[in-house]
Amino acid sequence: MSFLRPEFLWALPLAALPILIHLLNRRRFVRVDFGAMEFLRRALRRTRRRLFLEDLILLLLRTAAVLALILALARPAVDPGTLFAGRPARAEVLLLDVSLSMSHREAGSSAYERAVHAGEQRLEDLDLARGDRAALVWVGAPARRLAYGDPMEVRAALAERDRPERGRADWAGAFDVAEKSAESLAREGAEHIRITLLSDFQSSGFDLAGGDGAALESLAQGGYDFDLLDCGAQRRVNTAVVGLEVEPAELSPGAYGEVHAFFRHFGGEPRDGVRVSLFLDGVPAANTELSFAAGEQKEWSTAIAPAETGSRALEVRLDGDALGEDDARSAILPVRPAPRVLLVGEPAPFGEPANVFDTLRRFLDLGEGAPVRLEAVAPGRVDAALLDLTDVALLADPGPLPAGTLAALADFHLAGGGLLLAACAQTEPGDAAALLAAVGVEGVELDGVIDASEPSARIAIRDPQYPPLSLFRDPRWQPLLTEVPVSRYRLLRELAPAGAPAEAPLQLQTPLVFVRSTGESATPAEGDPVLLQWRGGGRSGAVWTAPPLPGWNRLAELPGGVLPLLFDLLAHLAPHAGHSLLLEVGRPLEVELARLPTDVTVTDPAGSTQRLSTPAVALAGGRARQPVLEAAPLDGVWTVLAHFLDRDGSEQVAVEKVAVVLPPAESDLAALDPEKWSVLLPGATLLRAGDASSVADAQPQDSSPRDYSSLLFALVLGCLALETGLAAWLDRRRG
Amino acid sequence: MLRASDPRLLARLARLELRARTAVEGLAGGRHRSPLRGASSTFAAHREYVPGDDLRHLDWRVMARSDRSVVREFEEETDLTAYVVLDASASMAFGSLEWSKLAYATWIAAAVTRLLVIQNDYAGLAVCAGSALAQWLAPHGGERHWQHLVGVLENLQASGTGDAAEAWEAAGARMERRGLVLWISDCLVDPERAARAGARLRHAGHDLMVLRILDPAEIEFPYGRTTRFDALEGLDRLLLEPRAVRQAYLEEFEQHDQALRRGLRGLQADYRLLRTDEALETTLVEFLNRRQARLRRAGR
Repeated sequence: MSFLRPEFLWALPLAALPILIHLLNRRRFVRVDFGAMEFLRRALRRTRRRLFLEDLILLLLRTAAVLALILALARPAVDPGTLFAGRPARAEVLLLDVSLSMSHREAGSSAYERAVHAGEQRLEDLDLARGDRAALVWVGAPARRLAYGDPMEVRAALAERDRPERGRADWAGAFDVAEKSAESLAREGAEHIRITLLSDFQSSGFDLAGGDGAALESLAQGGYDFDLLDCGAQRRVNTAVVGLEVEPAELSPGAYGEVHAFFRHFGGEPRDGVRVSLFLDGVPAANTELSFAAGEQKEWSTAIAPAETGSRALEVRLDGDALGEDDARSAILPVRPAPRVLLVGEPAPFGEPANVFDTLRRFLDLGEGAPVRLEAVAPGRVDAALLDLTDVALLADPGPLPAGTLAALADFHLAGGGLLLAACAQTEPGDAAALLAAVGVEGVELDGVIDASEPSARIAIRDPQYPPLSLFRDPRWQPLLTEVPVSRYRLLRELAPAGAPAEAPLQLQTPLVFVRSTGESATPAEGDPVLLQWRGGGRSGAVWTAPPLPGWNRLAELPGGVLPLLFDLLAHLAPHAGHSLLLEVGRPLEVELARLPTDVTVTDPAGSTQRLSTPAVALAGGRARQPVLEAAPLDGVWTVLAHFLDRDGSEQVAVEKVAVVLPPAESDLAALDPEKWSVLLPGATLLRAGDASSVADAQPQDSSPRDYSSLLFALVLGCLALETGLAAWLDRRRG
Repeated sequence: MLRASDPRLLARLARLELRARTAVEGLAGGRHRSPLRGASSTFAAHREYVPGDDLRHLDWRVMARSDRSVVREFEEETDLTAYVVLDASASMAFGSLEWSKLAYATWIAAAVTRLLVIQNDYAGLAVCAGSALAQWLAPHGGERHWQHLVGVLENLQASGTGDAAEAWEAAGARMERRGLVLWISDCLVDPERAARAGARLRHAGHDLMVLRILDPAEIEFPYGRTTRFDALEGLDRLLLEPRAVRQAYLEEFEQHDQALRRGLRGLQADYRLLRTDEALETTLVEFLNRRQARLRRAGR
């Protein structure tokens, strides 16, 4: 039995009211000094038993009337099948969708709140004493079982959480958990098991043709009853920020970058006058107003030139709507000073043609405000102190390097310093091999000179997405890099890794190649590497075999795109954050630090700060990886403050920021076609939460509870009528 | 208009003596046959007939001769002894009216003794307090004795518990001359004990007349609300719903009354139940009739 209005049960103590009134009345009496007491005593002896019975019946009738009235107001619902006979034990497995889209509100309640309410209704009729059981599966990322067993405890667990998560729903995992739960419930004696999906059945949330479908198919084979309770809104309109990028991804102070914000309007109705604002570190930087046609995707671009260095937080926001969570999106824009480049080499002897060192120094040494801060030094003078002030060491076509220089360069590179080997005429394969071995790079080999005068060679782009090539993605500028004639070049090979892979293998990448023909047959895929980059373990370096060298190529005379390429390449090789600056909700959050920290605190997007107790993991070169969260629960900018001791013992503070973003697919609220369900679950019915039928129709036919309040009201009237009649008859009889 | 013997009138009078006189004087002009003269055998004088005179006393001969209606009056010459046995136990303090049963009883006692004194009879008084005989005034005649007797009555307080029949027996033992015994009591006693006490009096040659004084509330039991009845005699308390036990109470009362009547009827004693809201007149007349009957039996 259950009650539809259980709050009235608090009035149950009022059933004692007639007894209290009776007792109070006995305290209110008239006092009479009486002489003929003996008659009274005898009269009382004769009538006591009858009077007690009469009073008892009246009292019982009054108490019963009050009790029945309270119960009638509480609207008891009793399963008629269980009223006079037992029924088989039942079990309910609730799969509660807690993905971001469940936050969408309509008519004052969110889909999640409707789902919780519907779930509570499902559990109302279950009774542990009859062997009923329940399980609650939290369909987040990852899916997990929140409660199991006693239906009351499951209901309490359901009511405990007042909001969904910010990520996706792991339906495949949820179906697996539900299957295990249902099997356990069956083993514990549940004869009738019903599996209820409480979700908005967002089309983009299910992969019924893939993993989700397979898991559901496996679950359906258990022969359970399925109810699909759609808790989503009737009108599924939503405008969301689906992307935020900056180009270039990193800026130097005062340099202009372009912010690209991407929006999408989901739903079948247009939306006008949507105000969009861009904030830099919480300060308004730009705004505009957009209009959207039904289903339209829009991009808004604006320029930005931050002056201060550091990890700058960008946020774009639009006017709130029914799903407010995806109306903002963050990104991190690192603003760093121009990289300090140590040009290592020897100038050409007086009277001889300029060598690579000379041309690179001429190109890169542009003084104050240049994209790089250059310092030139002979190989023999390279030491740790000099390298401590360096971001990238640029080796200008070096010959054999002194052992001390090699060792210092190795330490520098392993600690995260950038390394660019500009190999040309003077660098012999052995010299290059010695350097690469010293810095721990395998799989890269420099070979002999290729004479490319007949037919002439040129540089071609193999990987247009390589960040330093961003300028040359534009067809107008691409010829500046690719149409410079090359007559000779050093052959560079990327070797397949031999033997067991290294503990932290370097990622090799070849964005630029030489092609030796302009014909159709010569494709970048077949060319010899011009630029081969390695990355990993918090460091990156590259070998570049096309430095400007008179007599080899005409890059020195027609520098064209070489200069911007060099600037971008050096900036790219400079030390960067070893961790991702952009992360999706639910993913592990960690940061890479230059040293092992002594103390780390993290501040979440809501502004609350806590100290981390998880120790950092030491990496090669003294660097460290600090785990922050197993799964980032909130979108926005997370800030990690790390304290560590520098080499000289002074305390340093590093601030790392990571932007956590929502999965864009969650913003598309379009509902799944019910036909797709019917294929996998032929017997299941798609019901709407909130409709009376969603509760009543979903009950098993043999156990739908009936509201007995009208019967109790009739009982109240009966008791009152009987009491009145009896009291009147007694009054008459007693005179 | 109130009659002279109406208790509502008597209750307003300050002194018992005045009450008694008022009650007795009221008998003379009443509608009832006057009992004060003409009851003895010695002729005194003729007087004009007035309505209410006993027709048996009309002098038919004088009427035949003179065509006047006259009645014959006789002189009283009697030494009748009457004992008034008054119950002043605690239960007599009960009264739902402005006066208690004891007050009403003293009015009757004073009036009766006044009648006796007027007619040259001897009047004695026994006051019972519960089962004890509290006071005894031997029978005497004359105005001074009556004044003394009234003084005793006026100062009575209801007290004492126990069976009044014991006190009646004690009083009977003190009665040296045979005469008329008048019990004035609420008779809340065991009927058998009362009959036994009456039988002893009868055996001693007394005539017995019982005046049972009861408050209307004791007869009708009119209580409605929840009531706690505290015993006037003893410490008993009963909290009850009066309407629920009323019927049983009335039945108990009736049974007791019947038993009392049966016992006294067997002794040829007169029994009269008096409500305290009832005029004294009828009672006094009945008493005088009983006195006449006693005198007739005595051959005077």
